[in-house]
Order: sequence, then C-alpha cells, then structure tokens
Amino acid sequence: MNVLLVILNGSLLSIAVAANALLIKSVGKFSAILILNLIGFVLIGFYFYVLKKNQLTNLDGIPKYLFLSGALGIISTMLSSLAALNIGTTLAVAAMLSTRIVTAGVVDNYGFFERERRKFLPKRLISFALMFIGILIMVLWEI
Amino acid sequence: MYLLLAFIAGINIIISTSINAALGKRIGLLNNAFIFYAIALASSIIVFLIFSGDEPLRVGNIQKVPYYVYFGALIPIFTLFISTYTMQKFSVVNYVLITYIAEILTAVLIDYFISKTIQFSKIAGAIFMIGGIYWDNKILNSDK
Repeated sequence: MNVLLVILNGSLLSIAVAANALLIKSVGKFSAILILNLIGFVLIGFYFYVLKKNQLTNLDGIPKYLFLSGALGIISTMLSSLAALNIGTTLAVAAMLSTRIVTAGVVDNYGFFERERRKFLPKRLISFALMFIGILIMVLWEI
Repeated sequence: MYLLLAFIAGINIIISTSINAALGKRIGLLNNAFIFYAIALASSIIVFLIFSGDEPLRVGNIQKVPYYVYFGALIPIFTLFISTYTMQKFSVVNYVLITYIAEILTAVLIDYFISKTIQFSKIAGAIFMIGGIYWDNKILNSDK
C-alpha cells in the first residue's frame, strides 16, 4: 500500500511538471512558483482554519531547522533551473539524482533528521552500482 | 561550477524532504502542510521580488491561460501530504529511487501520449534502478 502511495507521488510529480508548464510559459517561472505557493497556502489555510477549525499546534521545543523545508524546496528549484540552463537538463538531472542517492545513503547510514538508521554495508555497493548504471544509461544515451 | 550547483540541489532536496518528514511526524500532516506552505510562500515572495524582473507577470505581458491551468496547484498539495506520510515508512534511498522511477516512467508515458515518441533510454535506465532497489532491499532484509 505504502509503495503504491510512493509510486503515485512520483507519478503526480511528473504530471505536475506537465500541468504547470503552461502556467510557467504564461507568467514566468518565479511568478508561477509564487502563484502555486499562494494557491496552496490559501487552500491549506482555508481547510485548516475554516473547515477543520484547527489551531496551529504548540511549536515549542521543536528545532527551528525543521521548519525550513519550504524554503529549501525553493532554493532547490532555483539551483536546478540555473544548472539546467547552463549545462543542459540531462546532465543537471543526472548530477542531481546522483547526489540525491548518495545523500540518501548518508542520511540512512547516520540516521540524520530523526530517521531510523540503516547502515551502509559494503555489499550495498553492488545495488548502488546498479542505480548509477541506470543514471549513466539515461545520460549517455541522450548525449 | 554549474555542475556543482546541480550537486548541491540534489543534496538540498534530500535534506528538505527529510526535515519535512521529521516535522510531519512531530506535529501531524495538516499542521506540517500549513507551516510548509507558509514558509514556501514567504520564500517565493522574496525570490519573486529579486529574480522575476523580466518575467511576463512583472512586465504585464501575460499570455491568457484557461482557468483550469490553476488546478495544477492542487497536485503539489497532494504530493506534499503523500511524501510527508510515506517518507516516514521507507529508507531514504528507497523513497528517493521509487519516487524517481515512477516520475521518469510517467514522464515517458506523457511524452508518448503527447508526441508519440518513446524514450527507450529512460525505460532502460529505470530497469537498472529497479534492479538496484530490489538488490538493496534484499541485502538490508537479509542483514536484519
């Protein structure tokens, strides 16, 4: 069930790129990001405060860096656009995916950000090699 | 230099989704979504003011789009909820790879329906990645 949800998540991300392409073309990339976040904020706020009559939970004692996800997402978008513009989308996507896999392995290994630890066993180098071969195929085929 | 930016973006995405999942676990999906959008909106206002100088919206040269285009904003809301929830259930490596494979294969399908072209490179690459995930989980499970 959870695997299906992750697959749905990935598919929706791709559909979002296609669905929002027209908006980006119409108003510009940074303007589109603003509009999408504004709509998201208003809808979530309406659902949260008006329909569900919620109050924001007590945030005392929560490390401040945990609130930064929304800002980091915007920074990622900017960096990836800038890279794709200058070195090409294929190479930029391959580079990002490579560091995504390595960083994911590091976060799992050390249990950063309050995650369960999953040690990086040397045997796992084979599975990581397969993942990187997958990336290489995608890049080299298109160059 | 620009390659470095792409590398940093990749690291950044993992940190962003990991801390989002950690906050979601502490305060619940709805509270998390509200905070996420509040911070994302504030950040996008700053980015908009600094970088959107020559964009159609700023220079008043917007091409008209059908109203339903704005429904595209609903999709990231769903993905935020799904990713906050599911990332707590998987290793980060599994989460990243399964999401990416679904993303890439959906993009292949969309391209096929729109332009009738099939990107075999992406399908072949995805097959190797699926093999990598399968092998990785086999190792992790046998080690338990």
